[in-house]
Amino acid sequence: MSRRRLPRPSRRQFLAGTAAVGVAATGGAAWMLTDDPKDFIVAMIRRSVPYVEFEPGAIEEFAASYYDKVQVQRRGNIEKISKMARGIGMPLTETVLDGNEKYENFRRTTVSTFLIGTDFFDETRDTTKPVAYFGINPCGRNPFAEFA
Amino acid sequence: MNFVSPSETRGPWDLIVIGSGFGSLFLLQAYLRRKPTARILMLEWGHHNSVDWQLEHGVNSDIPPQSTMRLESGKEFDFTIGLGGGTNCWWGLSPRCHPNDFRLRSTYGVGVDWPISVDELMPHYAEAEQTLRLAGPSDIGKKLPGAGRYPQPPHHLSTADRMLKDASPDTIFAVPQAKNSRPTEQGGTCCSNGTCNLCPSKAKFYGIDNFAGIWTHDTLKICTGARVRRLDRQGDTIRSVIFESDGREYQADGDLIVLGANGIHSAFILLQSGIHEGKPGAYLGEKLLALAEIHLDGLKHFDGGTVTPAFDLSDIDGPHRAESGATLYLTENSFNWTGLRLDAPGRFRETLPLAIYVEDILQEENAVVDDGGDLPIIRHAGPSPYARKGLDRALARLPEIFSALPVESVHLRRVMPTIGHIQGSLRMGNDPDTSVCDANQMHHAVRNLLLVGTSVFPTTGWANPSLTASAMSLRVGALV
Repeated sequence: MSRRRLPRPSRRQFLAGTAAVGVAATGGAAWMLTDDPKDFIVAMIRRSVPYVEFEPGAIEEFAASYYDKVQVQRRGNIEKISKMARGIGMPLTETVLDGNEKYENFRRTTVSTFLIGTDFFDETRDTTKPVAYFGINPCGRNPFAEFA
Repeated sequence: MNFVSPSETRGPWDLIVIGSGFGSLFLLQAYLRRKPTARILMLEWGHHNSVDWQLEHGVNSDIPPQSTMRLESGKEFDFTIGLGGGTNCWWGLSPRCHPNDFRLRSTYGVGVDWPISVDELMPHYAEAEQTLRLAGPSDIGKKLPGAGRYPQPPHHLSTADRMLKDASPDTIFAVPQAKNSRPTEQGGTCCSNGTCNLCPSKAKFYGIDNFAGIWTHDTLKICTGARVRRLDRQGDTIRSVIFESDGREYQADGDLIVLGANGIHSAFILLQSGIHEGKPGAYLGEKLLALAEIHLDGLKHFDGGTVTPAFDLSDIDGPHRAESGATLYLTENSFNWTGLRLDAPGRFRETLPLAIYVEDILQEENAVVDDGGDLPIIRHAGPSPYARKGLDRALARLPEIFSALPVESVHLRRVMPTIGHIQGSLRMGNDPDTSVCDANQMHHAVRNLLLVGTSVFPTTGWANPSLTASAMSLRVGALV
């Protein structure tokens, strides 16, 4: 994959860089989070893979479905982070939480779950089109698995 | 299944089995072979939640384990209250123990020795491995004597696993596990979903689906929703079992009682029954589970055929056990716990998640406690220095053990709150003052009370305990 040849910035450099990309791409609207914690999930995903273009509404559809299924305790944590992000903005929130294993685990597993529900990893997809979201399969969630 | 209502349970019964997990089911497998006409009552607190029900509801039971105990400290424990017990929530990993796991004190001067040896379990391990339809490697006997004759071939290794195996053929092995690598009449093949407590392809061995010969046996009657509260003891004998169902108490009379609830509730039943010999409840514990991650430089992972394809057995035994716990390193083929890499574009799969098991020494003060209330209290200080030292050692060893891979960096992600392997609260031993049951798992003082399951383990070892608990039940089921 050609992306393999891109430079490998540190996470902090990466966050700073993608913040600039995000602002440029959205005119700053990305930081205007509402009271809905699902907006935070959407923003978190966008900032984690800013170089990927998704079909309109794809991330929002996933976030709604995902948030509905998370446990009550985890919802409380998402609401807390969402509130923080509304107060200080996404870039600073992610800087504050950099190195926090609970948040990092939440971010990586959530983004991974979303990507697996799309055609992003489908090597046959038309890369000139935005990535489409299909949903989370109950079985076969590892698209890379090979069987004897 | 022959379900009966609480009012039909009075008996007398030849055998009353409390709990329905590995310990109970494998005991019945051996017992029914010898005594097919015996009248048997099984009492299970939980309900019969089918696998389809579990998949639909996203849980193994309608009774959350947390609602059945009070945790006094931060240490958590996990189990299933339901028909089939731990055979529902388990992940199917089934290695045998190492011979020195049974003689930790005499070999390394720590912990205690078991009153049985691995040799006594050999034929029963073999039977349990067949019953559980294990998929595993033929060469694992190099490290675990006697193992290797599995009914199914091993699961497909990932590229990283194969590189490790090529470099260290005597320490890296495919993990033996109770998940189909080939379709069977009972279920499909593993889909590598990483949700094995709720296996969507039914590739995993579930007790409620895969013990048909026991569940449908004419003389076995099953009462669910029956929470055993106490045992009625007269001298060295249990006369009856008192249980609660829908707010009413019932009594069932039996000649032989098998206690196989779980390490927390079996101990609590003894405590509430006033059966205190051998310190039931004390020495509660489990091994430590940590998640780590190796970032790989240019090597893509997650192409294995099951969630935990391989493990490294370099550190399951050796002189280090005198100072720190034995360690098992499992490669994970799922990104459910650590996620894909997001730190650099396009390198999503360049990571190898690891589960690290570290043996712990069971401490007397970590215990199930009865304060006279309705629920057991759990007092546990968390992993001991022995286990923590073992984890430190393991982390330092990772670059060497995984040196066949293009290791970019190693990260400890987190120590998990529980591994779900409750052990030790009813430990076996030769000394009635320091153990609850003898080498044949019979209570030292109450001679018709048989204790089964992982609660009788006097040490945690490094291995997943279900296979060993199953083999032990087959052994004692052939004796009683």
